[in-house]
Amino acid sequence: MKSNKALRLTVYLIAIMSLMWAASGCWSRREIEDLAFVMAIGVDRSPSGNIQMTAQFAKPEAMGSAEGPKSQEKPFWVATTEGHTMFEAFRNLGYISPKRPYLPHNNFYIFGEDLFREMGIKPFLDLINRDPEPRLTARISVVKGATAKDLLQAEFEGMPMSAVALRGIMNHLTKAWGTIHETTIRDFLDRMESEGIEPIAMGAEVIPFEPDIEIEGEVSREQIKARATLGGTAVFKGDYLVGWLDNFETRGLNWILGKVNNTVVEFPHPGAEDKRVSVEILRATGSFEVQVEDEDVRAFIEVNAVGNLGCIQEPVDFIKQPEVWTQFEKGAEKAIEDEIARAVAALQRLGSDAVGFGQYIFRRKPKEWESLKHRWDEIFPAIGVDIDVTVHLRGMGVVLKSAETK
Amino acid sequence: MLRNLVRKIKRFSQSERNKAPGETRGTYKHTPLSHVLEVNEARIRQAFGDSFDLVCRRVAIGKHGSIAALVVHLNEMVNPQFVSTAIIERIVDKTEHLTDPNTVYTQIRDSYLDLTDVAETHDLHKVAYEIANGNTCILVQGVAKAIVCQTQGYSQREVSQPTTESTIRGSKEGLVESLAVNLSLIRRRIRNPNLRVEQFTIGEVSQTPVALVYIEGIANPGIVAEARQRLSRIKVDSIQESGQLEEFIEDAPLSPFPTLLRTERPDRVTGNLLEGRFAIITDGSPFALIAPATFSMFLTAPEDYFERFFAGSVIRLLRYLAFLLSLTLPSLYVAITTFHQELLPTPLILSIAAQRNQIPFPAVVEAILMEIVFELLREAGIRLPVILGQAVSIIGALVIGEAALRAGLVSAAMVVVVALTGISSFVTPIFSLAISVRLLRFPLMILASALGLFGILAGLASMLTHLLTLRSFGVPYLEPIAPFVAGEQRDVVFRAPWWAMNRRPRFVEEQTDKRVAPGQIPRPPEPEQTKDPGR
Repeated sequence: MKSNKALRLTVYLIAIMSLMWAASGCWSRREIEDLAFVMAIGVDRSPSGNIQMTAQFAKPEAMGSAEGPKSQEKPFWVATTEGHTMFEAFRNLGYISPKRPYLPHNNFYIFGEDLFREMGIKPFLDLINRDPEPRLTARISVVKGATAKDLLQAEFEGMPMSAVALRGIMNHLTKAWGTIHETTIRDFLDRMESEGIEPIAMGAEVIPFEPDIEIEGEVSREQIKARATLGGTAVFKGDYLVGWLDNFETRGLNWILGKVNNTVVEFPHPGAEDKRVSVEILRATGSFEVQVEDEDVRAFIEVNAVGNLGCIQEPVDFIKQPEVWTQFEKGAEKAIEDEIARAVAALQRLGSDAVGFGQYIFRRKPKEWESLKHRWDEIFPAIGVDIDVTVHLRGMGVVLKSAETK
Repeated sequence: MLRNLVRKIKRFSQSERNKAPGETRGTYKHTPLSHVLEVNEARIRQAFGDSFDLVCRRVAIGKHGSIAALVVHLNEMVNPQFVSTAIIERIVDKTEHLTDPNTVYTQIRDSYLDLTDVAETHDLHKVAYEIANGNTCILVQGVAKAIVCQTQGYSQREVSQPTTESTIRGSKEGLVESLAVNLSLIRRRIRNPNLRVEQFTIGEVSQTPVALVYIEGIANPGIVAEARQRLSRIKVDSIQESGQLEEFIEDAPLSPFPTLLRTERPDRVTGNLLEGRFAIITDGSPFALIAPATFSMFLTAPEDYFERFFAGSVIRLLRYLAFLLSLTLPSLYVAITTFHQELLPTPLILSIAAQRNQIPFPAVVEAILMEIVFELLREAGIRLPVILGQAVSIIGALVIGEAALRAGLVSAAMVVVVALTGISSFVTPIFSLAISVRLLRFPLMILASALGLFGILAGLASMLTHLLTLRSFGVPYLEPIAPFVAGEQRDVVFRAPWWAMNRRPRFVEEQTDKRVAPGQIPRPPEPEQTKDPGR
């Protein structure tokens, strides 16, 4: 009898399984070849005042394979649509793309600077935040002085897909310069919603391309109209774009936030006129404190860095003049201090507390923040800042002395 | 109407069951032997239907050959040399001084035969079966009894390397088709009187000898009794292979998972006997059955125990990974490419998308198609004569793989997935588990195509639930993982060094005797012994 029961159960199970297959209709099934993978989304203001969305799609079949030479075809294509809202504009891509636009692999949301002349960024972020498909780990960037569309049409050598190339530049700059503050959509939203800190986004630039070098055999140089790069920071206040930090001001901000990994700091040679010294910073930590005494708010910034000597333009005999080594350290400290001071000054001028001095008070002294926060816009530009930078130089590379003429 | 049919089938099967299969066929009931030699001979001849290989040799023995005797055997089942020197020669020579048939008979039975195993019977039926079993019967005129001499001697395969479970390190002997040889292979590895062999004769027609082997004092008597009971319950006309036996005694006849382990290796048999399990060896089959079997045993290769434990553990871990891969890889591919494209890194998904661009089938059709092709190739490879094996691989690799790829019927990624799945399934050391995995892969693929990862998870969850309900001779199938037995984790995914494996599985009779005496970790000698070497 028991086996009968088991048999019946099996029959039921098979019936249910086959029903499930038929009844579910393969719910939300989508074949991979029916998807158009969006690699980057650009958002601009259209001439008619609507949202103009530019999507860069991957063209996998043109990416080449292990067999055969790569085709001359570009591995991406770009489509532009308009809409009253981001969602509408995105759905309108369906008029152009024969495949379903698919967002989860999107790396970049790029906004044209013009978009923020009159309005904030909030209306554009809601779709990204609300919809399950876009990833919050995608990076956010604002193009300075050009449209996002231009940027997405820019071309790069080595990595033909500009979204991938931008990511490459971003990674490289983050790891080797620190002149960019890598910002994801989530970071941006966090900063926007948090008390006492303002959002920032990566800056991007379109570089008009003038072919000044001719290399035999290079492919269709004349077709390249523009290149692009990342650098600097778009500074927001609330959700409005208020201004920009240049590359070194951005690095100044990164010193404070401890976001500099490896970078090159350069300063005048202490022993020779018009000659300069570069040191390589291997790692740096940054921290700050904010002190509130009655109405007087002061910030103390501390940066500790360890580095190696990178290059000197004038040889130094460190055995005879060991004090030069200390002078180099002092020089690097001074250079970093200047950068930090410039960054804070620029932010104070823009009135945007992107460092998070307010957040520090909010977290550690919430009662005082209650009284300060309504006047923070007045207090922040006037905050006095003490900067303490310590640079410790360790190595001098693989040579003791510079190469010298006879 | 349907109900009538079911009732009829039931009635039929019941009536079949009530009748032992042997009764329906023309065999002998209990018939006493006659005093008259001619009658006995005639009856024996009748029993064998005058088969031409039945040899009834009349021998004149006793003083002046005054007593007639009959030596009966099957020509090709006995060792003829043996019959002539150990039986015929001796009964003729030794009885020359005797005249009384009864004395002759007793003397032959008790002292004259140059044989180790001699028995006696009154039953004609028994005589016929003993002859069929390769024994020789001696009948004497005027005595209603027969002497049964063990003279089996038929051609059998030499002990050779096990073909289905090969190892690099470890014994190269494999079980063969002869029960006696197999028992000798096992006895030789455990030279202990506590190794018990119980014989069963299964198959009313085939009369196949089957041996139940276990170690007294280690094996749990309850489990052994259960095995004994299940074996004696079998009523079937013949057993040709241990696989047939397996289906009669397994715990979960409808489960895709095997609850008895089959092996061709005597060292695997003895290893399991020492862990308190029993083995069933069937004459005519080189595969022994081992039970109680737990899931982890199927992913264990003998080499795990022979190589050093680091290697053994890592390779076993690899085998678990391969098991999972062979079960889920095609369904994962289907689920990810049709439902969860966001899960793969961008370059990989773009590469798959580029390959899939021109493929006319949905991923699930592609996957099932390729899996079927693969199964066909595998089956063809097994069925084909070895000489033609190469042809299969050429067709498989070149024609199907390369050409299907070039023709745009399948994507390269799918070929990689199928190949990886195939390789992974070859890693499973016990073929019977590999077969279940082969079967289960397909429902998983269908689930994946309907519900994505959720479907795979649902499938795996129900599979796990099923595994949890399984038992093999009362021992939970997933032991010692679930129910979790901390002490036995030394030999599941990882294999502890031999000096640390001091416990047998908990189902054995007594846990008190440790397998390994404690404190046997090899270490350098104590410093006192080597101090002051200079003095």
